[in-house]
Amino acid sequence: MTKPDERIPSLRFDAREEQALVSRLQGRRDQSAFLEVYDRYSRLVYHLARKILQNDQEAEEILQDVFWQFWKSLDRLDLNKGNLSSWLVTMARNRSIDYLRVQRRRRETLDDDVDETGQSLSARTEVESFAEKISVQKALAALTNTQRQALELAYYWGLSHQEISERLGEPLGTIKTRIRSALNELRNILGPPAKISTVQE
Amino acid sequence: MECNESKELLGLYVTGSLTPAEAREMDRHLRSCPACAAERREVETTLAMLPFALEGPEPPARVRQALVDRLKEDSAPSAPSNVQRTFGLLFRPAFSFAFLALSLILLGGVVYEQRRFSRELAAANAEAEALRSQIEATRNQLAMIQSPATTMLTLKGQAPSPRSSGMVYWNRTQAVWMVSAWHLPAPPPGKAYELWFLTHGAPVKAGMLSCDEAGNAFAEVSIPGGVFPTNAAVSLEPAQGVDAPTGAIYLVSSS
Ligand SMILES: [Zn+2]
Repeated sequence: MTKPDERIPSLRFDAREEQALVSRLQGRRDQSAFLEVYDRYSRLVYHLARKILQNDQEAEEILQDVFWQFWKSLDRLDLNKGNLSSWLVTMARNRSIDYLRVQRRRRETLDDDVDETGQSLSARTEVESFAEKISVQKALAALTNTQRQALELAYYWGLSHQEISERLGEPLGTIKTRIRSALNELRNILGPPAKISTVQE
Repeated sequence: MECNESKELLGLYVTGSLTPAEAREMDRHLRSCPACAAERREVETTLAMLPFALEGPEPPARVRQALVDRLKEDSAPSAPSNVQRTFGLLFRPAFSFAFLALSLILLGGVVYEQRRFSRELAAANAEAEALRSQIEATRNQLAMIQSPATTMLTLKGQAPSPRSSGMVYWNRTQAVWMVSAWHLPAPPPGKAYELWFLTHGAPVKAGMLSCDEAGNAFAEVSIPGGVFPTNAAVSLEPAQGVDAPTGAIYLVSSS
């Protein structure tokens, strides 16, 4: 239902582009293909790491690390399903959350405003937009505040359901239901993976 | 576990928000239930869309440059000698003094090793092979120290031996510690130094540290999953090692 505006370009590669890139990457270890992937997705990875770590410098380390891991493990990756961005996002989230959990810094200084940005972040933001940003922002806007909060605490803060329940002052059962319904809602709005993906086959 | 419950918990499972016991039950269920396993992939894909909504500044150009440099090094047909490599590392900007000091120590070792290497090459092929792998190990250690994911902890000598000191190079993404210690007194017979991960809970044993005659020690240890160290310590323990520290503390880190 939130079909992105046709005039706004997608961030993700389309199926043919991605297939061509993957064969250059896995077949020839083509460095220019690697840099094309970097140029397309580095912002996505960087913004995610920044969001989780609330720190520009640590986000930079994660960014370099994720792409280097990507390059080093190319041969072992299953990249034939239009999942390049999923792989990078999942890797970036896991690395960032691990880092965060090791540091245990965030939880100790956690304050009440979930959306507050850390002091160490540089303020300048880019204005460029693309189709996926608009549809995901719209989908998130369709959730209730409480659904969004619970989802954010689980995904970006890496909190346990127990911690989420304490933070939001709601019983565990409510948190479980809320995450479940938030995800269902998002999936209904964004469509099943085959549709949200720009990869059609 | 029933499918209802599994579906209820899938989102929290994918974000790693379940208790270990719940996560194990989910693992079991997902292995035996193709429907839930398929839904799990859908949930993962949906969650992986969330970051597309984020905004922020452009990543700094130096990250791209660093990757381009690493690609060049990666594809170089023949790796430069270790001495050249080590010099190369030394002259890169923004290296900490402590790193410089450690590099010099390692460099000394590599130069010495290489001289010995060429002298004995003809006579002792087996030994040459061993040296080569040692050099390879040194190279890997340098690469790890050089990684932007590596931070340092300084180990300070405690009451039994204030002049002892050390350093922990902590590669967070590989979850590895490289530990150097200097001027530890020779342990009495039957005793040895043991390294500890200090955590918010009880200390976790990290392995033994064996010293050379000068009291210097080096160890590389992996941080096990589920252990979240905040600091490091070294204590004197029975030579076979113990599960929880009992003896005098010789070194403690301050982060
Ligand atoms: Zn099931």
